[in-house]
Amino acid sequence: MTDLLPVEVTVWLMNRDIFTPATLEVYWVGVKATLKLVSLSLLFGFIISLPLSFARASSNSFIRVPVKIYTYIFRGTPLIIQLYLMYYGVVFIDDVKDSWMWPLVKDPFLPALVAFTLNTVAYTTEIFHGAIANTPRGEVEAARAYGMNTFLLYRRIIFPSAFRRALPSYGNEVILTLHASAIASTVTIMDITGAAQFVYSRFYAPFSAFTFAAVLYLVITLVLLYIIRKLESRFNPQLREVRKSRRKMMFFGNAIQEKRPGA
Amino acid sequence: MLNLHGYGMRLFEGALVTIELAVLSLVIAVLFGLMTASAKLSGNRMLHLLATLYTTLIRGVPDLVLMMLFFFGGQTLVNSLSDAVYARFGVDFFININPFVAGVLTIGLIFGAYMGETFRGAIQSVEKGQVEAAAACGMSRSLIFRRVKFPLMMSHALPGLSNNWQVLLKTTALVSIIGLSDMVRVATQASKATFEPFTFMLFVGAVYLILTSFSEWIFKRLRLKYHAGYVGAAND
Amino acid sequence: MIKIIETLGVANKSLASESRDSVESETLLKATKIEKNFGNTPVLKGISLTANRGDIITLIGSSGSGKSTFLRCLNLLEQPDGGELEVHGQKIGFKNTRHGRAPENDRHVQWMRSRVAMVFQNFNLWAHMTLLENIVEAPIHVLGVSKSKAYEHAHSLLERVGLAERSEHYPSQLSGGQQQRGAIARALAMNPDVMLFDEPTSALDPELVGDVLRVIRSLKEEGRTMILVTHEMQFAEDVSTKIMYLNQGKVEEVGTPSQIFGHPSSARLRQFLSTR
Repeated sequence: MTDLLPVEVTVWLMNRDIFTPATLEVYWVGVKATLKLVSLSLLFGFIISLPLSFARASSNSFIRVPVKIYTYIFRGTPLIIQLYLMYYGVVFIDDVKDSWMWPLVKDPFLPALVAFTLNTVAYTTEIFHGAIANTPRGEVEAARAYGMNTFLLYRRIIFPSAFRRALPSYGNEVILTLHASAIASTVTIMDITGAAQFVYSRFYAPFSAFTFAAVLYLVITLVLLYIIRKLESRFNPQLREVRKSRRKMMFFGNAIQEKRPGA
Repeated sequence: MLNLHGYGMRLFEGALVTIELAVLSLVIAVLFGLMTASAKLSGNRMLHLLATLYTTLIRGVPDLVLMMLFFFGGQTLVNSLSDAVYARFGVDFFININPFVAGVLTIGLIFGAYMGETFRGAIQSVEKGQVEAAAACGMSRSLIFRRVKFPLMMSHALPGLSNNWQVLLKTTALVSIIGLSDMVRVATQASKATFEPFTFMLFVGAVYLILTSFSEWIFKRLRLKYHAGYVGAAND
Repeated sequence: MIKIIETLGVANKSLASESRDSVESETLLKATKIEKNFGNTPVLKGISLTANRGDIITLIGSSGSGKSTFLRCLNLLEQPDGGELEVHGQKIGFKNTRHGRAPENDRHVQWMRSRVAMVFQNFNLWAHMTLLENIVEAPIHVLGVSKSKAYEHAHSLLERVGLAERSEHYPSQLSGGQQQRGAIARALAMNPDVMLFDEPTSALDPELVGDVLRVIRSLKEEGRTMILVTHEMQFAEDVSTKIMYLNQGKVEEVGTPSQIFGHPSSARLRQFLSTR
């Protein structure tokens, strides 16, 4: 049969039966794992970054410098190294196998979660720090002039103002964390990419297997972008009109602004 | 002291693979980026749509998935192509996709999408007056591009370029997953063989840190050089 | 292509030599019935101008009268939608394209622009080059002047505009007034037949205006042909040989400075001058 049909059709026929309920189930498990890993990393990352970003701006160098070193190292090395260190490192530490920790560590989920959280904390801290540092002087001076103390100043003026400025970069970070999570599959986590690899090895249909994974990531990305945009226009009403006209022009083309800033 | 259990030489070779891969990918990425930026600014609807599709798709999907798609998917595509050729013409050939070439092309393609945005912004931020002044002197289009537009664009693009390079450098670590013997892959193998993951992973991490710090330093110098025209306020 | 320029160059030379005995009437730049629309709004409704050697023509008028647009049409930074342009007796040909009227021959336009220099409101010195590099750039790359000659000329021009010590500075390190004097030196480096000034002092702090005007005045003394757009009425009255008052895309009144400022005939011009 193969010699009569064009290549594309043969390929399609060969791959036709890979999307069975069973394989779709595998992908569904993958989507759940990806979402769980990403949302938990982002949640913990957000909570830890807040105090760290203020520490990063501290005038006390004993507080500021360690945070700086931490973000420098984690932003200057590949995430996959950090992941391997957490995963293989912990497994190979002597005595861990015999301790109470073993059931927790045996499952790759926890090491992966720790690695992703530590990584996103480094980037998020820098994003928040940048936003805080860029607070217009006049706003701070005005608050002081009205008799606000430091705590009130941070709570009522600097933080809300910085949060608005940080939103676009933070949205970018959310999407990059989603994409970075694809390497979780290398430590045997069955996320979307892991599912694709599984289907690929079962059916030897890499094109369909990975294209389907790509589409899943794309859909999640676009949904996240939509949410980020909604948040942005909610918190920055002055941008609404501009965005509206701009969005029409750019479609989703400019939505994902840039890769993570380097070290 | 640091004991690499005889893996030192292989790690060094792996580091060379990483650097070669990164530099070649950068070249491809810059080419793709310039093409994308000019397509988006060309005013041609078809070209604009194509470029937008390219950047959206690439930037909406994880690097690793794209890499696997191109690498594993590309191989089956080539295989079925050679099968079909054999079936039709009886000519037998076999092409093995070279993982290094695949890695360079894939990373170049991915970062071309990001570079495209960098260059587009940079081209747009060249002031109209600078180009007008050149035209008013009677410069031809190509001369204007070569002497005025391009150098000004590069100075605007440098921060984005430096940023993309740093990310690209770290992204090369992913090729270890598709089977290229870069630094990370050597380190993984060594970790498994010697049961000393900390030694090897920390070592490779340190090398990356040195590479990123070094390139940051270089870019800082370049920025100083190219931004010469922008430093210093007016002093009368 | 090159041939065209060569013949143009020859024409230019022979024309120059022919008219040496009749310097008065040598026409360097002639624009006839220039029209320009932005979208559906006409901004220039057929403006004509003839600049003979030594003329200093000043265009005045309120903002939106079209004077800057007209000046930019004279070296085709704006493409006129109608009318004709002649430089040194050479007509610039136009053709109709999908995007409207465009010059027939890019090389011809480039040659014309190298003869007609422009000084901009915002100086537009190239930000990535030092002042000196700015000045030698076009002579070397457009006119093909040798490097040593270009640099020599540039140094003497910088001396003349009072910026000899600033030659290695980048534009961002100079004040507005210094940048504008540098931009005038850049224009002079081309040895142009006609110089166009597009509101050269409008972007300057008041205390820096004087230096720039002094340089322009010195150009009058060496017999340069200039076309200016300016809001400095006193200066216009002093240096101009001819004043054109533009209103809503048309020439409302033309005359010598004494006619225009002393005896304005149209009511609009009188009102315009009284608000100054």
